[in-house]
Amino acid sequence: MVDEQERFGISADGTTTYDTSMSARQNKIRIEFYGIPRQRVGSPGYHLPVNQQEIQLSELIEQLTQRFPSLQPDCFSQGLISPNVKLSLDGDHFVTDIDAWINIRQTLLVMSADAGG
Amino acid sequence: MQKNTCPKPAGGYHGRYLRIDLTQHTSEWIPLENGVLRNFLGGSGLGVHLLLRESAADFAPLSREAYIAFAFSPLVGSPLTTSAKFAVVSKSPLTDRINDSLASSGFAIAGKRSGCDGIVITGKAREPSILIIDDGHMRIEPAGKLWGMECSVAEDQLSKRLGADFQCAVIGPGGERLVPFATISHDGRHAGRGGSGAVLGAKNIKAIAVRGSQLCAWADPAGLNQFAKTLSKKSFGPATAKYRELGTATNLLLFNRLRSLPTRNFQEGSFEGIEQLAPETLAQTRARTRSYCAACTIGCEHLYSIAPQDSEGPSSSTRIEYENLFALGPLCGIKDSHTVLTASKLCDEQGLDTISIGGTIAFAMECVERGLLDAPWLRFGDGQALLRAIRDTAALEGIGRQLALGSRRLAKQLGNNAIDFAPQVKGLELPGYEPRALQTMALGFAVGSRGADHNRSGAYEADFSEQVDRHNISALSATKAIETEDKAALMDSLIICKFLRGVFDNFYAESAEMLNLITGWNTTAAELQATAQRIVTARKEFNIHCGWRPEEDRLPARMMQNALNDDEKARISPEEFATAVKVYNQLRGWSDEGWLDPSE
Repeated sequence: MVDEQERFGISADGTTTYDTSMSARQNKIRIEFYGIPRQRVGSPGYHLPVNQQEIQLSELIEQLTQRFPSLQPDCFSQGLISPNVKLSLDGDHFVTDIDAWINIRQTLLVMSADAGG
Repeated sequence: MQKNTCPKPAGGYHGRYLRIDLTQHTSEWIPLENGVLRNFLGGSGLGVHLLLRESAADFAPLSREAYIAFAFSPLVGSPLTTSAKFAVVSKSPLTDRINDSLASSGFAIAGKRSGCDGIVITGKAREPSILIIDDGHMRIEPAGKLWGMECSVAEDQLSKRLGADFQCAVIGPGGERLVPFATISHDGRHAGRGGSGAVLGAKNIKAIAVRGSQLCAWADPAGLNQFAKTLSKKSFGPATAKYRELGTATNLLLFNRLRSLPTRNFQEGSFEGIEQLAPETLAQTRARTRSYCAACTIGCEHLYSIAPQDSEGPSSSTRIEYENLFALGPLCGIKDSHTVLTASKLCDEQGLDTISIGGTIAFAMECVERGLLDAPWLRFGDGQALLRAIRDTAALEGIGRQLALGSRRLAKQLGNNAIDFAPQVKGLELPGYEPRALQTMALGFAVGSRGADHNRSGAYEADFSEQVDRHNISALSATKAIETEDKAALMDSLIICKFLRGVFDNFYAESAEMLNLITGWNTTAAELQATAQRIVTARKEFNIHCGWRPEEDRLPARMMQNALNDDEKARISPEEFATAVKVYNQLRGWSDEGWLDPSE
């Protein structure tokens, strides 16, 4: 299980709660999970500690899958992004290049690929 | 009844359709040439072809002379997963344009076993009736006490009356009262959009019951079985996990995060009470079961008990999809899950399309706020008001008489530029994809022949990718809109479920292989791409016969003029949008305005 401090919580009234202040996010990248990734992790999100102000996506995926092995193989496989998930930076831009850099001011959304409803 | 004189049909086909005239109480077999079948396949494609052949665009959709087609497909009855589907195609009483709505399960299999590839109905029965097609033989019986019954009750009663080997498609009270967004229900599922239930109601038909024993041969049964096994195996994989484990409703939290969840009549893109409605939350407090369509291995249907587990007394359950949660929840400002689930169940039983009723009520709520509509009780966030409005609409009582117009006609009745914020394109209420936040989807909505529609255009797939900027429509959006519209046209004509799309490595090539195993044809991926384009064009042709004008291919004025209240980035450039529409038309080979003849 994930440490409570590292998890996003669900408050009593059902709203997602997380500390968005920069102090809480010092050298951490916020990651949010939607759909199957959330099912696999068992949590709406996670703050991934990083050593520097930014990290390459490939490194992030490696650390994330170490932390949450259950993300493999449905979401990530052998360090690559599965076609069954999509990644978005801040909800604005989708990213597929695992060499892309992500900084601690950004939030990475990990979601099921198919948005059909 | 005439005999079919068609040459031996291709595998998977009977090579004929059954044409029924309810006024004359007659039926006849009409041959379908192999060339026609190869050009239009089945489902939506065959349905629109049959309507064009019958000149159905010439008649008012609720008139005695109107036509409605139930179209099957070469895949129906095969071992291919998700293949038990049928299309209901008619001129829509809501939009006065083409409408093709799909549903699934045993009706498709039994209907095809009647010995036909489609059933075309015209005329009007003398009294409320049941249309029975028993192994290809038509008869009409009085509906009796079935008239007035809710969908599930009527289907259950009819099944007991006729026997369990009959499969029945029914309308609810909404269809009987000609509500223009009434559905046709079968096995709890609905051919939902565009009001095909009202078309049947106008013909005095409460239900169609089918039974049959006539099977189609397949060109390569062994190859087909092997293909089907492989496809089924892939359908158990991660590409469909979302649908199996959570259902479509899991879109709620993501769409809310992206501010693309239409809220309070498309004024905002996120909703403060969304966690309460999310399936991730519902599953913690309510019993949940899954259900499958016939011949489906995915099982996307998630049924939730309406009352929480700790409540007293009996509880019924209801199917929950993203679209009914969005339309009856955030769109109307409702966060109470019990109310939303109750409203969804009510719509299903009354036979009303949840998207259109939710969109129309949300629009009416805003009209009340603006002083355009005198119904002070109808307020955003008031769950009891939502339930009352749905009941009134199904009963055509009180304000329901106005809500039953749909948002476009209601707006025109109210005047005062209310049409600017009526959430519709071509009269069809928008589904749960905020156009300003998903601008390639916005284009798909605008140019769609059925109106604003997420099933005939999957352009949101591009918005959820790095191929386009979802906040800035561009010429590339036109390419993506066409790609997804063509793909949807083929899936709806083959017919296979769109939730399978993620399992194909090469959709057109694999579809060609699948079709060849059934039919014995030598079709190719390129041919199927051309077929998809032909079907899209046929829909447009039907609309032109109905009086389509280029100015219909647009979004409501508010969406073109204002950003979302909670996301300034979600703003459409009217100039870029107009350019994208023009490029779309050019890429289709049509005129800049969208006429089929490029010189017009």
